[in-house]
Order: sequence, then C-alpha cells, then structure tokens
Amino acid sequence: MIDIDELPEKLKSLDSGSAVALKVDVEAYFDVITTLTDDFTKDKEMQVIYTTSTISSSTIIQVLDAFEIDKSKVQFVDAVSYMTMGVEEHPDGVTYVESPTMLENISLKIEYLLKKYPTEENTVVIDSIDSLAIHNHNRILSEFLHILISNLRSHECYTFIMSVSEQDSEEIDNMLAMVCDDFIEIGSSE
Amino acid sequence: MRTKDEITIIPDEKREKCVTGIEGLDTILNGGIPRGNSVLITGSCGTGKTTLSLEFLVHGARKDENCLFISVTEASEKMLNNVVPYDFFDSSLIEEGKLNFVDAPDIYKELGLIDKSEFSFEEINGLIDKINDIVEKNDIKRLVVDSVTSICFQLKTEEKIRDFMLNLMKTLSSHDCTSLLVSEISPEASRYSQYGVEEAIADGIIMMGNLERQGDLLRTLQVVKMRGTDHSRAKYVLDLTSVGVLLVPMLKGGGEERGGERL
Repeated sequence: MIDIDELPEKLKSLDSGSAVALKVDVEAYFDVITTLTDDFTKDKEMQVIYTTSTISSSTIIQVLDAFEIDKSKVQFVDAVSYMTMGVEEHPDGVTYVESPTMLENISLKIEYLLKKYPTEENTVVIDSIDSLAIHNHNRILSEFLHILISNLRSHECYTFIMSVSEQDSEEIDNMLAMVCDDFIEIGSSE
Repeated sequence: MRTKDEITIIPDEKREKCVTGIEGLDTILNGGIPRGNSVLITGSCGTGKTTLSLEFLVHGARKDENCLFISVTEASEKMLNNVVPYDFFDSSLIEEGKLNFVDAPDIYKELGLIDKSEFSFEEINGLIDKINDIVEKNDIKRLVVDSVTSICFQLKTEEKIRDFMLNLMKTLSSHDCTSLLVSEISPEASRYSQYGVEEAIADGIIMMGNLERQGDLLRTLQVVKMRGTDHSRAKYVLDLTSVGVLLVPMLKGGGEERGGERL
C-alpha cells in the first residue's frame, strides 16, 4: 500500500495505454480524484474522461471547484444522476448515461468524447467498479472491462479503475487482476 | 442462357468496397458494402435507420461521390432538421451538388402518379426509368430511398413489389450505385421486411432494433446478410451522436439470464 502523497510520483512512471486498478481507502477517495484530474494531467495536453457511477458528477464538480481545479480538461460520463432523478439541467462537460446497467452506453459515451475532443493524451477513470457491481452481474462486468480496456489501449489511453478498500471483494480483485497491468493500493496520509 | 465465358466472376476479396465511413460498420462489413449492392436497412421506428442512411451519404459526398436521398415519407427539409446535426456536415456539399435530395411526391407529380392509390406495372416501370435517369444524369454513386416500404404500399401485390425491387436493384447496380433501401417493420415483426419480398431480393440486410433489457432500451444493429463480403453477424449496440453513429459489441455476460432474456 502506498500513501496518497506518493500517488502522483507513482503515476508518472506509467506507460501510455496502461490500465491500472486503484484500490482506495475511503478517507483518500477525494484526494485520489484531485490527483487524477489535476496533478496527473497538469502541464500535459491531456483530457480526463471521468466516468462516475458512485456519486453524481455535480458533487465531484463541487469538490473540484472547492480545490480550485481547472475543469476545462475534464469531461464527465455520469451514469448515476438519471437513476436518482438528479438531472435537472445538462451542464457543459457532462454526458449522461441513463443507468449504470447500460454498460455498452458507458463505452459509447467514452468513445464519443474521445472522438469529439481529440487530444494528444487521454485518461479514462471508472469510478467505481464496486458501484457498477451493485447493478451488474460480475460476468457481464468482466466482459465490459475486457472490451473497454482493450479499446482504450488501442487509443493509448491511461485507464484507471477505482475500487474502495472498505468494499473489498475477492471476485472484484480477481476481475481487476485479469484486465489491469498494475494494481495500486492507496491509503490515507492521516 | 449465358455461357461460362460470358460471365465474369469477381472473387469476394477482390470486389471493390463502398466504404460507408461509419467506422464500426465498416469493421463489421470487413471494409464496407460491396460496390453496387442494394442493402435493406430494416427496423421499427426510432432505431436510427434514417440517421445511419444519411450519414452514409454525407461520408460519400465528402469523398467526392455524388449522393442522392429520395425521401418518400416526409419532406427532405423537415427530415434534415430532425436528424442529429453532424460535426462533419458541411452545407456546401448540398450547394456543390454532391449531396442531393429529392422528394418522392415531386417525382410522382411529374409522372402523374400523385393521386394514384395503386401503381400499374407500366407506372412502376416509369418510376424506375425516372430514378434511372436521375442516377445516370447525376452520376449518383450512393443512393438512399427512405422508405422503400412506403413505395411498396402503393404496389399492393407481391408480384409488383418483386418486379419493382428487382428492376430498381438491377438499374442501380448497372451504374455501380450502392444503395440503402430503408424498410419499416413493426417491433414485433418476425421477418426483416414488411412484405417479405424485399428481404429475399436485397443483396444485404442490416437489421436495426430496440432491445429492452431490464427496463433499459438499447439501440441495436446486426448485419444479417451481405453478399460479396465476409461480415460479422453479431449484435452491436449503437449511439447516434454528433460525431456519427458509434457501435460497440453487445455484452453477453457469459449467457447469463437478465430480465428474463437469455443474452
């Protein structure tokens, strides 16, 4: 396990096209989000496609605003707000998927954003595999990850699949081990 | 009967392909639709038939091919306003005559068919001749008829539909014109076309559908048949976006039962 403060340095050593499982202590959850959307992409021509099925994009946007993080390079694929009837308007930078069970549509929205906003480098974050597992059987989830990561590798995207340590499951760990190149466990600095 | 010396057989792998420009579809079709094929784009309402067909033409026009959309069910102007506004669409394609629109009622009017509830064989031939003239005169290489079902509605008999479809496809093929013939079917239809005749004659069938899975409605696409090329027969999920039609393989979940349906 590494400390959250060590994460930026660890990410720097990754090759493009890497798929990385990030097992995150719940205390470090928001720090990981800011690291991925800010520290990792800073000084690069890099777009972040942040797919959320855990908490709404509007909540994450509030967090980024609180940390004064530049959101211009962040695009959200929000697969949770429609399900919770939380979509009142369609803000810029947010693309909605009606339900976290529509895994193909999550892939399609990521593909759309890659084509719509072509940049030199891209990072795709899946937040989180645990919340997707609530709504989908593990076998279909494995298939989804396999196809998605293969496709993102062909685009040379960095892919980060988040899971929360407190929701540990052997089956999820095995699934991630099968499709990811690296497995990083992150604890809180406190 | 033609002798074997009079027949030129071109192997599938050597047939020229009409690259649709729809990335996922070209992959499914192993490079595109064999040039000169007539393909039935079939499905119920809201499945994306018109949008996909129009995108096929826009990509053709961008590649300097003359393209024609024959709109039967609604005025082409209204149809254009309702389809997804593509990022790659350039109105100069219309101004330069690369992308052309004709409303079928205008053709009917010219041929004196506007008030006819049923077309005779002669009138069908007149219609084919008119389409042939337009294709020949404008060197049309891609054509969409939206929808062929609406034309067939005025032909009434299976015999006339067969005659119309065969002659239309023969005419288009003779000009190396690749065509998408939009076919409307009801969601619960057990076949690929309204009258059954169209699907038997067409060189290819692309089936578009709405799949309900656990209360989610997914748009799907499946190439059922395509003469002259190897192709995938798997089902794909599609999205209609401003960057064009996007496709991903439909997940099967190892054959798990979901929502009462075996995937």
